[in-house]
Amino acid sequence: MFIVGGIILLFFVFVIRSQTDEADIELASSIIKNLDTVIKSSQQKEGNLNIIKIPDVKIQFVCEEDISFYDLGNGITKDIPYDIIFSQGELSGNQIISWTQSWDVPFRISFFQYLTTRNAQFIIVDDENKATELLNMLPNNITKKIINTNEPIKDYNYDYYKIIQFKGSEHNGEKPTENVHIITIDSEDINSFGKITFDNEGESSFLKKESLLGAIFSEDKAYYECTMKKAFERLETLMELNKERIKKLSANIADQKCFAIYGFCIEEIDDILLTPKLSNSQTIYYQSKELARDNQNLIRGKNCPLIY
Amino acid sequence: MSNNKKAQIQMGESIAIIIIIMILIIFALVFYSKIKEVDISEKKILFQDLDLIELSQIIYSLPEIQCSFAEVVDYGCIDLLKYYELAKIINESFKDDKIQYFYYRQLFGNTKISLETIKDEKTVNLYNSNRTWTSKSVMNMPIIAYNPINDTKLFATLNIEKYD
Repeated sequence: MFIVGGIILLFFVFVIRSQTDEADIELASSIIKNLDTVIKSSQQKEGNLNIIKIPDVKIQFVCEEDISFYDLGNGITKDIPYDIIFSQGELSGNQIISWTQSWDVPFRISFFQYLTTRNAQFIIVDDENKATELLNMLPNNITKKIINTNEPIKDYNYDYYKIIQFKGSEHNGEKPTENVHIITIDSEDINSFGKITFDNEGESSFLKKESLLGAIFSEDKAYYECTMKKAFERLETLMELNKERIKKLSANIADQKCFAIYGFCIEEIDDILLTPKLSNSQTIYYQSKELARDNQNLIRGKNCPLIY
Repeated sequence: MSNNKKAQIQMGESIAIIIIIMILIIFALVFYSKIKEVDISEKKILFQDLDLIELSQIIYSLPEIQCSFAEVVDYGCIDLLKYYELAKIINESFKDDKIQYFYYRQLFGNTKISLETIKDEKTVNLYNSNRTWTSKSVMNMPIIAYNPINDTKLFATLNIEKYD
């Protein structure tokens, strides 16, 4: 009798355990599905701001050479080899804030997605110039504030503190001892190009404000550069595609004025395609401005098909 | 002797009850798994449909093929020059095993995407995964196909076949 009772008990233990495992997998796949849908849908509209409610789990984001994924623990991961997502290394809490911006150089290259949580605080050090502009660029739903250079930063138990300072106006007040990440921006115009220094990891570059925002939302220099590498692969494809399109327009439009402008555009794209890398941000920025000017010239009464 | 016999009968009764309970539990489990199976297959169909809608929206908003005028994107319109060029890039990168092909393969998955212009009944493939499949879902989206060379707009359908 005892043996039979034991078998029945074991049977129920087995059923309960398998149901628990199944529920864990179901929960993880539902989080992945939700996150994936938000990521995909956000990539179709600029300025999208979504608050994704999830169970209180930790999601790790990894972007390294040839490998990019997010991990929900228990070996459940989702590859994101081409998605341009800037995020902290680990997101925790039951809400994820997702924000999207379009990266146009000068035509749309891709949507950049930024992920954070309410457990992260973004602190901008006032330089009496660009800091307020940057503060206004960031979405309202995140925890952000502006402080003076000597103002202490109190530890309110946030999981993550990002101090954003400008070269020449570095923060010198007290700050929490843990979970603090500092980036220093060196740029005349935050919507053009410039240099960024990550903690003590060294210097990198940015191209346009969307890329700077990427640096702000990224865990570190390695994550930022890895994600920007994906963006530059897209830039290369889009540039090649548009170059061929312009060549076709040039070959089929009789108007000499259009022909000359198309010629300039091809030269500018060729310049960009020489080194389509983050380190070449300055040249790419100026050539993209030229492309934008050419497009304006095509609009101004020349009756030529536009390049974008 | 009679006590032993009584005990044996009671033991037999207990075993019979346990066997009946076990049979009932097995029946319940089989019944539950059948319900679960139906539920999973229904969910699978729902996810397939959602995936197809999601994919159609992705293609609809691809900057590679979207029309734009004076820096403003025109939704629901495909620039034919961009479309043909992207089809060429995907095709060539497939042959040369380039990164572009892997990008679009990840984006489009196991599908066939083509554009059919209604007036001249011309169909041009953008992407074809060429993989084996057992079932497929189809979506035909009406769109405007714009040719910037002669500034003409044609009525067309973007045909998406998603294979499973």
